Amino acid sequence: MIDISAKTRILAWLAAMPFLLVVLMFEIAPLLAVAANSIQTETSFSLSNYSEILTSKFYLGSFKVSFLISIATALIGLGIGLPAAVLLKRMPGRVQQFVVICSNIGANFTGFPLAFSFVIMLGVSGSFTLLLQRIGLLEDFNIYSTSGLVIAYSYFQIQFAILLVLPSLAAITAEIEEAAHLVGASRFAFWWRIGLPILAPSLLGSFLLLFANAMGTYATAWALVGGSANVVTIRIGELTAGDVFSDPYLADALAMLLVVSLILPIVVEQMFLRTKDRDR
Amino acid sequence: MSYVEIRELTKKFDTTTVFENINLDVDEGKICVLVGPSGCGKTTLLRAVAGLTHPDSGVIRLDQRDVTKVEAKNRGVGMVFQHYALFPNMTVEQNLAFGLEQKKLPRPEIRKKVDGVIELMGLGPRAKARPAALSGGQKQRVALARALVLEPKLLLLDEPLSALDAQIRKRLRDELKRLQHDVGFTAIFVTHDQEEALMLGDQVAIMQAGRFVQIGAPAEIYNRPANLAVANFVGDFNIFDPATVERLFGVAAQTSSWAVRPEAIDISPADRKASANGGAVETEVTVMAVQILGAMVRHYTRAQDVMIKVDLLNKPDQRLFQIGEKARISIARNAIAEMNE
Repeated sequence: MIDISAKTRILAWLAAMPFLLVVLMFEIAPLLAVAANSIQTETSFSLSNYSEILTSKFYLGSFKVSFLISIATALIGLGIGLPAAVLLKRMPGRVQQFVVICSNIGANFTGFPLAFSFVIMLGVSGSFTLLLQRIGLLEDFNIYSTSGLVIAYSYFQIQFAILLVLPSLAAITAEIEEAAHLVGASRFAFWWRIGLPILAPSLLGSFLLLFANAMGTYATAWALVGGSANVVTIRIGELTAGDVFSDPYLADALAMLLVVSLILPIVVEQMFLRTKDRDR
Repeated sequence: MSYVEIRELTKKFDTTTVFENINLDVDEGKICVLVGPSGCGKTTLLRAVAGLTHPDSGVIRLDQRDVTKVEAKNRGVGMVFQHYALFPNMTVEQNLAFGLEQKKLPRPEIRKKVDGVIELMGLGPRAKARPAALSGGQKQRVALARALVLEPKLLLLDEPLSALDAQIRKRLRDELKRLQHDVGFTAIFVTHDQEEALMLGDQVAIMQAGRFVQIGAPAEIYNRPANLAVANFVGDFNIFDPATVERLFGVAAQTSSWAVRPEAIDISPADRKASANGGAVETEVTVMAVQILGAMVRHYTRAQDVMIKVDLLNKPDQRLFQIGEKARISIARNAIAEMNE
């Protein structure tokens, strides 16, 4: 018996090897390289890259803008995605399937194609901009700005949110809703006291994924506003590929800080969920 | 006038008719059990009474008030679901208090009522636990308590014991009966289990394909099934068609079938003299198999090519028959229920 289970375990490890190898080569190794490079300058090892970032208004500003855009679009994503998913769950299966497919496409429709679509629709002489100006609903709108980025990001964030939230709605069965209704709860009371608390852990998880998704977005921002948007990913891009300000070591330090800013909330979330589990 | 009156109720989904023009009366303080095979419409009927499904036509009256068009939460009905449907984010206490809070009762009163029902259901040690930490039986007790704490005019139970294992099921069934005796609620109970129906119901309504085929007291249903379908459903009747009756028992000119319960048949060794009991019919059988069912011992016997089930009480001095043994069975006339389709 013991021999067989040992054998299976070895087999399982062997089967997982290719995957582990990929993780090692393309995730862990590059991360270690970035970490190592981030404490280097042209001449020596030092933490000067970090001190430069943490004392620079410009780089701190890029983190601030990235955070704001990411938090705003994650909230917009959930704010619209959650009610959409709740309504969708009441639809016939075929409608659900169709919307899920559309959302899948939409959530991955990012980068240059997305930016281009927004330029033709909402650019300075975009069709929607002109239409809204003609009927007097819009005076002056500039898609090539931070609020433009928020709108463009929201496009994929909402659809991503629907995909993230939809499976977790299975925890709210029709029976639970009916039971609440029968003991006298209004729709609002049901969602406030029962529905949202049940969903809270998965909403928190979804929020963090949406946040990370926005923090890491590069191509959409670059294509839409170029270097003029002060978001972290564009700063990193400039420092690695830029002709004027190239400083890959500083870029690595920025990247490490970006990684930390993504990992930290996830660690906090996990701790929060663990204490919640203990309460049960 | 009955406490619960269902009159000419019809419900269709698209083109399929779930039930049509059905009528049911339940008296105050009684448990009416709706029993029937799955898909017969019993759960839909229960949901219509609850207000969770809207009937196409007909009237539902509860305590002399027409509730057909009243919203579910204003009908004064409580419901217990098969899969408990407890609020997973709340403790037992909070589950029980939630409905009272929706009614905006003062805090101390809510406290008093919740404590009362926790005591009644013996949930004290688990009052602070969340549903995930409860066993199936405990969950269903909480679900029942959640319905009872609101003192509903009518309690609806939708296969509440079906998801539980046999032991717990029996215990909860006894407890439910005791509760009904103590609290005196009126209930409609849906099940597909005939034993549960007969044990719990003051009144049993047998439903088949969207209509009631028989409504009556458990003893009546058990002893005098209205037709072959009921006989097949409520238990283990031996059914003999007219030709078989003539062949086995020599009773001719029959147009109806006979239904006979296994325990109503006497079995004796083949060499024993025919019983003096006039009117009883007899035939020779061979014992094919013997099964201990607990309190009963079931003998599967064969008379010519017909299988006949015979039950004997499993008493210490009971003579049990051996496989292959020849025997004689006799059926008293008053044990025979004659019925047509």
